[in-house]
Amino acid sequence: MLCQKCGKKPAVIHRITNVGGSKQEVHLCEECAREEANTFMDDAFSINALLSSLLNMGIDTPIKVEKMETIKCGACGQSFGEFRTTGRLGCDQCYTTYKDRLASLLKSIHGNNQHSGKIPKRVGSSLRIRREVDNLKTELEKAVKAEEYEKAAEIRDRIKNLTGTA
Amino acid sequence: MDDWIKGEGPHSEIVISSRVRLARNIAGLPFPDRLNEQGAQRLITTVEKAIKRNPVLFKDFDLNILKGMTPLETRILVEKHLISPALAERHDQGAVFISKNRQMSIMVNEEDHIRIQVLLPGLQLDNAWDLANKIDDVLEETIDFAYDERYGYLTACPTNTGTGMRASVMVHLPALALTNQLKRVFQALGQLGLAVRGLYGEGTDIVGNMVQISNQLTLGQSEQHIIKSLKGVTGEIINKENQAREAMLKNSRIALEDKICRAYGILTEARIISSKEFMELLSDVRLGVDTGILKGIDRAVLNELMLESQPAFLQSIAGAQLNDSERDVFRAQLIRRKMK
Ligand SMILES: [Zn+2]
Ligand SMILES: [Zn+2]
Repeated sequence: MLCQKCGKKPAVIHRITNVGGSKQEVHLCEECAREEANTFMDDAFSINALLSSLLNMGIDTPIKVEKMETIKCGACGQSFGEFRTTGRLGCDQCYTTYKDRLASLLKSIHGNNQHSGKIPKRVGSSLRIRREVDNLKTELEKAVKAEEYEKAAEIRDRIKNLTGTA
Repeated sequence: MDDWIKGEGPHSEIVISSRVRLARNIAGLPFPDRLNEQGAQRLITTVEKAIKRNPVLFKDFDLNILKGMTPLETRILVEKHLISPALAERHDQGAVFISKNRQMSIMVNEEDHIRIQVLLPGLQLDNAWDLANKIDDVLEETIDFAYDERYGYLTACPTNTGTGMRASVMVHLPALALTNQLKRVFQALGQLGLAVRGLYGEGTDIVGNMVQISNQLTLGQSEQHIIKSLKGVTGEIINKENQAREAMLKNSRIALEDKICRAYGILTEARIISSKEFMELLSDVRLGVDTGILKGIDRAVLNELMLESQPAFLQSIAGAQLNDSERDVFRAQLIRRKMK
């Protein structure tokens, strides 16, 4: 396979990007990949790819984008325009400031925008219980469907315990 | 000696090392790019306090402040994979806590406030995650991390949001390369959402058939899930590489022996050798050791050479600044000394 960018050298770097929910394959030769890497943020996606995906999602018209550029985060003072050029947010509050834009951006990068990994122990006890309850509810449904009523009763008790202490 | 250099971990004939990195930020504090020097200094103190509260970590981790180091010293930490190139660039703000066995490090003021990194020899992704997770647990006892119910850990770059985790393995795939199967493997990895890179991570070339494979997505999957799938994929790659090695030994043994012994000959006799040529020949010799074609060479010597033949390391061994061509000469000397 030849490199998509220059069309001359064989492609050696291959990856899948999730653009607006549709998967796209990218195949590059070493040289073009390196060139692209110079504009990489951290190590996964280029800013340009990110932002063009953001723009191609039909959420922002060009005029709206221009206005968006000047909106600043109240906590750190960074504008959305600066984020567009650096690819880096200024602080954790930026996630609230640019909530709508980031929801779709994160979805376009990760194909998902709901965290399902680690929850910090200290801040996350109620969250942890809620997730546990959600899991138990799914189990309960399964047990009922399989007509395992004894198991279902057991699960129901566990849910009661959890929600009682929550 | 750093443990990965011993070349003794599980599947170390193919998997050089396993790494897990966690990105964390402190709630309410601007990310490092927007943090002034005082803020950066306070952050180092905050992390130091969190470490001091835990007797085990306190005894094990030593603080290195980049500002007090020469560029060469900083560069060596990069070559040892103890800090990232990005941290090395933050000379005025950056700091790193390094464990005594050098398997664990905690970078401060990199792209994110805190980056926990665990690097283990061979295929040990579970252990690496486990250790990183434990360090994270200790830090979160005293530090309020920027965390969102929906988005998980909030990071400076949206490509890390969620788990903030990048898990990777460094694999040596000479037989897949020699049998022209590497491209197909990379393609398959891409389809699985995994990224393929060279020895030094982002944007580096694949040299000497050393390939770094890592997860790309950080939001929507649990850490365990990410580790499990990377482990599964690595297992399959090990199988494929082993099959290719066996096939070559069976079908073209003499040609393989020739290639390996020539590489050994050049490595031990050359008077000038570039880093690229060295890495390519080293790959052949490593394959020779792994397949038993070359006997009496310790894999640790090869790993040591891989580390020491890098620019900053070479210069520190030489005790002098060396230009490119001086380095190539000194590198050849070092190899002869170590391999003969
Ligand atoms: Zn190209
Ligand atoms: Zn902000």
